Amino acid sequence: MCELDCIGISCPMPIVCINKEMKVMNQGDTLVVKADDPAFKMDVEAWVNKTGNTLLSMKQEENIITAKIEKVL
Amino acid sequence: MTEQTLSLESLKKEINDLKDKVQKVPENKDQLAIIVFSGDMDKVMASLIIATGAAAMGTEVTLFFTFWGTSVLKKDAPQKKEKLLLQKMFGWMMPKGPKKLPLSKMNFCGAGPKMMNVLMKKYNTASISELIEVAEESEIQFYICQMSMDLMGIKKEEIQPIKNLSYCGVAKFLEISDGGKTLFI
Repeated sequence: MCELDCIGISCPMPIVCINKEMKVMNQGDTLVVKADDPAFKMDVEAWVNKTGNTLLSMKQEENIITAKIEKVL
Repeated sequence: MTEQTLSLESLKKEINDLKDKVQKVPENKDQLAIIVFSGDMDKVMASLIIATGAAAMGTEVTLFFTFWGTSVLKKDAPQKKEKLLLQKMFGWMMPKGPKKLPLSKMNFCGAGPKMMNVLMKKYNTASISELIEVAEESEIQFYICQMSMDLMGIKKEEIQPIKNLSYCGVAKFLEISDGGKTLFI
C-alpha cells in the first residue's frame, strides 16, 4: 500500500500527483491519498472513472478527505 | 417467400453499407489541443491548469502558443539586437516571460498580479512557471506559432528551454488537433 500526502496543495496538483504515483505502482496495489482541497472529492471520482481505476473508499474527517484507490490498469 | 428473401438481401446490403460508412468515420481521439492566444496571467493559468489536468487524466495534450501567448515562454532577459525597430518596440512593451504577465482584469498597472501572487502563495496554488514544469513532466507537447514569432520579433534564443517544444504553422496545428477537442483561450 502506498500513501500520498496532498494536504495544502490545490487544483490541479492532487490529480497530477496521483497520476504520477500510480504510474510507478503495480497492478492491484492500493494508494491512500489525503487532501484538503474541497474540489478533491469530485476530482478523484472523475479521475478514477476516466482512467479505469477503482475507488475503494472515500471518507472525510473535518476538512481532510482520504481516498483509497486501487490500480486496475 | 420471394418478397422475404428480397427484403433480407436488401437488409444485408444496407447493413454492409452502414458498416463501410462506420469504418470511414474517424475515431474520436482522446486528445486535447489548447490554443494559448492570450498572454494574460489569468487566462494562461486556466490554459495550463486544464492542460496539466487533462494530461493527468490520460489525455494526449498539445499547447499551441500564438500571438500574445508567445510572451509566456519568453526568457526574462534583454532582447537580441538584430531586430527591426518595430520588432524592438514590441519587445520592450511585451511581458518578458511567465512571471511578468498582466491580469486581463484589475491589472492596476501591475499591482493586480502582485496581489494575485500573494493569494496564490497563501492557497499554495501552482504558479505559471511551476505549471509549465508540470506540463513538461507530463509529456505535453509545446508548439509556438512561427508567424507570431516573426511578427513580435521574438528570436528562438529568447525562448525558454522547454522539453518537447517545436515551432510550427497553422497546417501542423490543424493536423495535430484533428479528431480531438480544441480550446481557444
